[in-house]
Amino acid sequence: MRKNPNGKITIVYLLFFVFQIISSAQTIKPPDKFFTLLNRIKFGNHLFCTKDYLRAVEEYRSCLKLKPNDTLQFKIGLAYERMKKFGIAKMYFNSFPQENIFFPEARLEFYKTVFLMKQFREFRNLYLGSTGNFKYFPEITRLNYLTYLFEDLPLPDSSNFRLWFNVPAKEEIMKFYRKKVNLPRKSLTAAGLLSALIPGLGKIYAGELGDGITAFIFNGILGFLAYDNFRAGHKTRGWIFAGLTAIFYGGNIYGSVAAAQIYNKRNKVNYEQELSKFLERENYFTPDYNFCK
Amino acid sequence: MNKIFYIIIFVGFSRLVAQSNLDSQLNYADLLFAQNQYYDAITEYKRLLFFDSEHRFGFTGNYKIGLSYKKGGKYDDAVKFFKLAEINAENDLQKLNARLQIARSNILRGTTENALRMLGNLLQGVKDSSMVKKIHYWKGWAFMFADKWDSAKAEFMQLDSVDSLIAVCNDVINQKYSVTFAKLISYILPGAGQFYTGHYISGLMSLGMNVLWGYLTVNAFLAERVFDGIVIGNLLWFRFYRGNYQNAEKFALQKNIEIANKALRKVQIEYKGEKP
Repeated sequence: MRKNPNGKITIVYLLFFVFQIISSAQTIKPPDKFFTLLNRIKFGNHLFCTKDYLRAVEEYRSCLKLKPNDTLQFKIGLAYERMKKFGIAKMYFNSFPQENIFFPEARLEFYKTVFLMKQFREFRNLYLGSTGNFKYFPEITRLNYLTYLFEDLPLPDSSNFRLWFNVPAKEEIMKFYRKKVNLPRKSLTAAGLLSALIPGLGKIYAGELGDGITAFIFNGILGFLAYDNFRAGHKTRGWIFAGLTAIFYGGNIYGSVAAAQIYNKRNKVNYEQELSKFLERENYFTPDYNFCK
Repeated sequence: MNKIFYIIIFVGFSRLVAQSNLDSQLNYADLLFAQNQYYDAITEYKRLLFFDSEHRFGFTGNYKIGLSYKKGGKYDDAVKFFKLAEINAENDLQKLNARLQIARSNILRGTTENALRMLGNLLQGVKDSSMVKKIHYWKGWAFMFADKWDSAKAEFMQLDSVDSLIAVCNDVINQKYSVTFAKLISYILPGAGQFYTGHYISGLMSLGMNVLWGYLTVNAFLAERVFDGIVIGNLLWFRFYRGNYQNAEKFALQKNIEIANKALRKVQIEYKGEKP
């Protein structure tokens, strides 16, 4: 019988692996293999692309403790932004290191977060301080123009608007521009005056036909009751109904002004919601970076 | 020959070590889960799934993530991962368990109609008697959360050793106010429905207002002030009369919700058996 010269090595080899398996099975520590820098980045990217941004940030932060990485640093800010933690994202992008290769993108995202926080006045002030040689100047200029669509300010000239929005969705954005110019509005003064003249008319003017008719009938009945009771010599009841008429008459004027306010607010809110949805779909005319391709 | 032998051993061990890594990762995630650290547990289960290239843990990982989300009160996320677990199930039992968890998450998030529909569908496809009992049990819970205590009782009656749940159902059924009765007695005597539901001051006010405006209306007609009578009757008396029986209905409904919520809170804290 020939002895296998490698027999002893084989047994040692076997024992080594068996020991490894048993020891790793008994421990409750996670396997090191999954926590190497490369694997953590891979896992972090997976979390980022499955929109689990909070966990992605944690994973990226652990990676950055081991080794600096420009992309991960930028993606952390982006993750905060996508979680709608705009305050943190704004601070993060604002203090972004200049030596990072993503510095221009971080600057753009800083502007974008200011916009997303609806701090439009701050945005315009920042924009005034920006320079034309900035890589993403067209993007922030577009955002600057868009701030006007959200505020009650005179709109910039439509030709300028058209010029900067030379993008595929140009026609759609111009539709929003025109809609903003012609946004239906009701005058609060007119609503109040109309209701003072004929109760309920201000409400009808503000688009609330049913309420207007009700206010007219109610004020009419109460006024008639006051008149009828005075005429019949029932002074006390006459004064009660006269008081009620005065209260309802005042309420009718106030209600008409409020109805006009609600009308204006509702149109503004609907317009802004529609615009926000459109901008979100267009990613606010900013680059997508394609980190998840 | 020796070379082939070593290659086989090496490949075999590599696979074993890889599997062992995944097992260790699962153990680690399970440990976090057992320590109630659900957020971290989810991260580690997700890591397990990410590195599990052979999809060995497709069911376990997703199921445990679902459980973690459920424990953390994130029922929408829980349902999403239980559905993934169902897709990755390797046998009918796993599939059934995932579906039951989806139904239970639906009970907890208040979408009891979904839960009942799911449980109804499950009941049709299951033959095993223990499973049938389990489904009836969760249907009972779904009915309790849906405020259908009679139906809940009927489900529990089909099972053994759930006497305490039947007792809870009985208590609620007995304590609940009849909304129709509250409304009806308020039609007959204004304020009576409020008295029935224990709102004595509201009942007295309702009675007082109805008596006052009723008297003035009748008085106006007797004095031949027909217009006054019509206006006071329509604008005041009938307004208070309608308000009276609507209030009685509202109070009865409110009281019933309070009774049901109290019973649900109690049963969720004190009941020793399995809960959604």
